[in-house]
Amino acid sequence: MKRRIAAALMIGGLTLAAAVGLAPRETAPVPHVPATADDFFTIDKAHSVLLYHLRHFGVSNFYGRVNMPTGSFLIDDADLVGSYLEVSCELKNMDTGNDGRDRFITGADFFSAREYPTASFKSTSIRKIGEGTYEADGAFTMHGITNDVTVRIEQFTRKLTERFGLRCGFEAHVTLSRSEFGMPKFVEEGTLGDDVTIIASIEGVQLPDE
Amino acid sequence: MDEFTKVIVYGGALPFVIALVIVTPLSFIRRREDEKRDRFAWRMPLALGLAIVIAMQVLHGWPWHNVLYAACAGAAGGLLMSFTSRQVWVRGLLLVVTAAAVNWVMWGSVVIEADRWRWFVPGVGTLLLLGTLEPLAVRRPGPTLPVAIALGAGAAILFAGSLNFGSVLLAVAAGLGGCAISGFTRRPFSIADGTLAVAVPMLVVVPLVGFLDADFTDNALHPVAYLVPSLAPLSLWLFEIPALARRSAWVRVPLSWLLVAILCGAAAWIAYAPEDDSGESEDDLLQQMYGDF
Repeated sequence: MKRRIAAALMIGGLTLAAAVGLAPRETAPVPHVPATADDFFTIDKAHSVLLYHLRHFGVSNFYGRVNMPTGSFLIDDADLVGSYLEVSCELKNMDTGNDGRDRFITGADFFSAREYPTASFKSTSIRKIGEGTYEADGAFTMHGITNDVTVRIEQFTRKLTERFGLRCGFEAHVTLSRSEFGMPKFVEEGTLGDDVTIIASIEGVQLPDE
Repeated sequence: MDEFTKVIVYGGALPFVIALVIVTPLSFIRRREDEKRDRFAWRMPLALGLAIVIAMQVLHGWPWHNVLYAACAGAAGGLLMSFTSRQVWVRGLLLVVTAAAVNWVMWGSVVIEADRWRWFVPGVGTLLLLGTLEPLAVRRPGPTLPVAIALGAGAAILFAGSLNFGSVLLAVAAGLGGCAISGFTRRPFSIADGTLAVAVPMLVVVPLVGFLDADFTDNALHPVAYLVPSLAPLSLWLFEIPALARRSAWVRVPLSWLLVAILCGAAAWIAYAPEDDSGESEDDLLQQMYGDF
């Protein structure tokens, strides 16, 4: 009888241990605590990307991407005045899926990437417009020209992971006129559209203190 | 007018007409018997310099890129050469000054990155190419060399990396073509008297900028391809070998142009030939595309 009880306890214990061990451990809810200036998130460039699209011959949307954006952000409902978003990318990481086109687009006809190697956005103010949705006004600098733009931030989500720190992600959308950034090539004849929509899929990480 | 048409009209037809209009009228004035040097030699560097600058101004406007200032530096050096003697020390001094001026205006365009070897490439390249083409231009006056250089400039468009810089080379090729036509008039000319100093810096700096721009994004073509079109006119030295030099102009000139064209074609092949995938079977390609099914 004792053996059966011991066996049952052992099986039950192992089952419980396995259940605890196998349970998803990275979904703990994050209690909201007002952020401080030190609570900013650093962009995880390996899990973030900038996509862009523009009209090609007026018949399709051509998509390209810029890999490995960098920067940081802090968006806190309790302190929107102290909230900010800064994203930067190196144009040498431009990837259109075609080497010749990459050479062309980063060359003197468009980005002149050697002379202006980065593009960046720096917010000046952020306001909440819905659950997980914000608008950020700020300065977008590209090709040596800075213009004011408004970026829409959507799907803003935070999650505490056990091994990979506090994570926060969102998707930011903005549409620019490339001719306003000194890149009007092929706009006039309608080969390439003037409006370029940028979709920044950003994941930030707040690593725990050492 | 679409972008390509603009480039053809303003970058090609316009400089050709400008060069032709400036050079041709003076070329019909017969050379006096006591005229030791061509007293209208200045017409060629002036025509080519103006052709490039006006074409680029109409096509792209302000602000000018350093490449265009390099063309102006070359034109200034070329005009000085057209007024001075061909004594070795005078010509050598002017070549060095022109190359230094070209390097100085291009400095800002190549110094962006920290690789020091690049800093002096515009000047050293200009000096070497001018120094080797100049004696050839003296030995062989007339349209053979300018047309060869125009062919090289035309091929180098492939390696300019952009329409903006490619159109500069198109203007050089078209302007040289306009100048070369005057070779069929009563006044023989030599591009040794300043014209080379306008064209050669463009042959050096435009492919260089094309290479640096592409290299910055780790996407450059084979480096040799950037060099060949600019160096191809040097192959005309081959026709100074006595066996070839003795041939009639009707044989020698077309052959020399053909050689330059073949070299430029080889450069394009080196740069753009598809990679050899003959070792891969259809199954290998399917494997690459779809994995292990």
